[in-house]
Amino acid sequence: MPLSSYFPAFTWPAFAGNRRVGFAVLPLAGIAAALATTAILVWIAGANPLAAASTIVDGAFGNTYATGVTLVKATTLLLAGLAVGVAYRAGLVNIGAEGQLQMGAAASAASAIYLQPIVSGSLLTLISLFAGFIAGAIWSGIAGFCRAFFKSNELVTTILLNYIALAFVSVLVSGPMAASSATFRESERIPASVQLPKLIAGIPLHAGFIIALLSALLVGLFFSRTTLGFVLQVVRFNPFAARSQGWSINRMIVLAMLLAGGFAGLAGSVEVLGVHGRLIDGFSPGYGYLAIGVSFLALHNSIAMIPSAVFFGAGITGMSYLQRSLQVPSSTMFAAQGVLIMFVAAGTALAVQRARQSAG
Amino acid sequence: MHVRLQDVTKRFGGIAANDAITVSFQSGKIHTLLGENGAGKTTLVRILAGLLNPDAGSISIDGHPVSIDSPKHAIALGIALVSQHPMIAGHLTVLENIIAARAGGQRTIIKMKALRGEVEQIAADCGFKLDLDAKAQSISLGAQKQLEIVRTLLSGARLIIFDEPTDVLTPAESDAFFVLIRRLADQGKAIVMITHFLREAIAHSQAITILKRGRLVASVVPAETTPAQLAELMVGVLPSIVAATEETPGRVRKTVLEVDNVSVEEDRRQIVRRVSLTVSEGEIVGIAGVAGNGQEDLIEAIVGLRQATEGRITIDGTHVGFGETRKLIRDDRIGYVPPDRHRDGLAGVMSVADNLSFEVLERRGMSRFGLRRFQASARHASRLIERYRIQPPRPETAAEKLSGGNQQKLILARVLDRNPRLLIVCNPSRGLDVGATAWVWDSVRRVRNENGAVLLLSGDLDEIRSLSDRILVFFRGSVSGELSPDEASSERLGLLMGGAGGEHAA
Repeated sequence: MPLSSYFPAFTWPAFAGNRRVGFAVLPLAGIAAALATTAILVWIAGANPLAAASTIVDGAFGNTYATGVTLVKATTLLLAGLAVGVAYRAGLVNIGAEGQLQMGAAASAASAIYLQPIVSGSLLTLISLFAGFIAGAIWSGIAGFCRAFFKSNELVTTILLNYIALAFVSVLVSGPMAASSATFRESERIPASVQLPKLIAGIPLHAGFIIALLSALLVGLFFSRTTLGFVLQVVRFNPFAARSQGWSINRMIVLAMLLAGGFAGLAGSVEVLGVHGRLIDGFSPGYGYLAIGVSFLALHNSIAMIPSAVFFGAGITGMSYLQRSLQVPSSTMFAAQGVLIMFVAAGTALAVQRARQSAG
Repeated sequence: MHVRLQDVTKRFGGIAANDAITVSFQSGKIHTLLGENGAGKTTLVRILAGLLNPDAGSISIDGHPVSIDSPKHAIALGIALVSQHPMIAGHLTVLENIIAARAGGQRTIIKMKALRGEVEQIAADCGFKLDLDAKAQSISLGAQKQLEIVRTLLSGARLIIFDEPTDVLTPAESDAFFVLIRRLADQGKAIVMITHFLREAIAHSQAITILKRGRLVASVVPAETTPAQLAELMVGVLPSIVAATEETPGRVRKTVLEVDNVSVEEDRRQIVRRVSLTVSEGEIVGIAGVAGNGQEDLIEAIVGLRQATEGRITIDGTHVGFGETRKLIRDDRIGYVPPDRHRDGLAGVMSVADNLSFEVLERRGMSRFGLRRFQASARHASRLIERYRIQPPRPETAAEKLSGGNQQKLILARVLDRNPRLLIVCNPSRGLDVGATAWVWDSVRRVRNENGAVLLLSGDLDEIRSLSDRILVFFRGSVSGELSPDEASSERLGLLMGGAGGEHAA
């Protein structure tokens, strides 16, 4: 006898046919499926999944310091997530947050280090943040420009630009920007007065967290309130309609990519100015890729990205704690992240498709 | 084949789009569905095609009850829908689009050669001249319709549904189309057709069913009815069409639009060849032509969406160029209703209010310092919805949920409401019912009577003849003739549109 005869309320067609339920449930179902898969991975790695789960939560939120670390990760993820979301809401796929973040970090570090003879203190912090934004914007702007004028697929160009950016930062910290006394590939240290201040003494949470929250808010307002944000959405939903209104699609594509990359650049800046205090080779454990998950889980809504970023941030801190305490190898963590993004993206894509079908 | 729908009901948010409809379709018959926009015709055929599931009622084929739960199932049952807007993959070739009907089957390897032969045979039987290797997006709308018909036949359909088939066809193409479906019916196919053209319905079908607000109001025998009777059944009292021409003699009419020797190229091919024309205050200039003869491209050049490779375009004496579209719209110098509303008119998932705000987005009052003012936008939307009677009168509805006619009203509303100096309207009444068409024609005439300049592009010859003060016919990128509406018989227009008018032109 089928399950539905025991639980008549839970028949699949009825469940899947309900637009509202489907829409909300599918991303969450994605998370559930990802967690289940992760549990299997942990079990294969030789640990008890239930114990692992409580260890992860403990590692992410167990004390104020751990929570602080989680929010620091969330800060970077949120800014990088905005880079994916802004592009997506203009109908573009930005897989290049990682590269844009690298370039932002490089520009931010370079300006903070080399402009010291001219300016100092918080003014230099602002300049450095600005430089990060601009560098990220330029890096994604290249992809936007190529898309607009040469019709090259931005999904591909942004990925390719990631490799260039990563290599470029490697080169910078091995030669031109390398610290004189360094054993690692890293730059000179940025003076504490230029770094982002900590919000609470003794906890790593820095002022970048506020910047990220404000950015999310601004992006939300940008799309809901401004004429430009409105036009970008028309471009996404029907570029032909935008064209016959005389809105230049090419200009909008470039603009959306510039804005998107700017936030990823800022993500790099806060890593440099708020976390490491210098430019380090390989400082990002793939924030730019996790950002895709952050944005998709939030259905590209910038405000919903705040909890989404915290969720992913908790994943990073919790899993690394898991690695330390239960000796689950770190590759499990990367596999789990990949699984999570995959399921979340599939879940949201399904939800969107379902919503569109029931609309048609 | 005998397909019977019994008490079929489909509701959308409390409103019955189909309310207990009982109707049968039979082999050998052409059955027409008539009704106003939003009467439920499209809903009914979408149920048949497996695109919608009815809330109540049953469907049987040759006496056996069936439940058509997916388009795939419908095709397996031999039911095919040729929709109003071509469903094609533009980047694939015509042949690839056609054989998609088969390639979805069990075979892993597509026998291209055999299928090509089969497709060529079907196309030849239908009298189509399709370039099978052209990209599907590059062929005319008429040819795309042919593509869909061939695809349907290849899939082995026995009941073929045409949703407003002749909308995009020229008179000659329409005639050929009716000969074709008659032949298909004679071969034993059941044909269902949705149309707004009452004369077509009477001339070519064996049964007419009329829907009104989701209910079946009448089934009539075409031979025993008249267009006026049908119109009355559809809308109640037939609206009177007013003010054909109001001449104000002796006025000096300023030239608004001047197109001087303009050419347009695409892929290094000249698609508009040295065209000159003028439109003055208080006149409607109609451009007739088979879709794809360059008239749409000329219009795009006029509104600044396309680069003219030579020549000069001026509005009120000022040169207008490529890329100035938004400026022209913002300054109310042009109002532009694009030819393909489905593609170019609306952002379907956005609300009616948002769509209504497109043209006035930057206007003072609607936004300040780049920030939108929602109250002003909501007021604007409510006013337009009321004034232009857009249904349903809810600004927050997604535009794609409106019926085709109401979508068209939305687009016209936001353009007409601005009183632009030059109104460019393309196919303004395509897909509209009798009542809505009368309304649209009245609106366009009112612009003219209030001394506006109107450039009308239409594939519908009735529309061109009823509205225009002068008619220009386009063929292969140039004007093949200019006529007054009195001289413009269907025959003569048809000849000119086919490029055979040279010897007739005075």
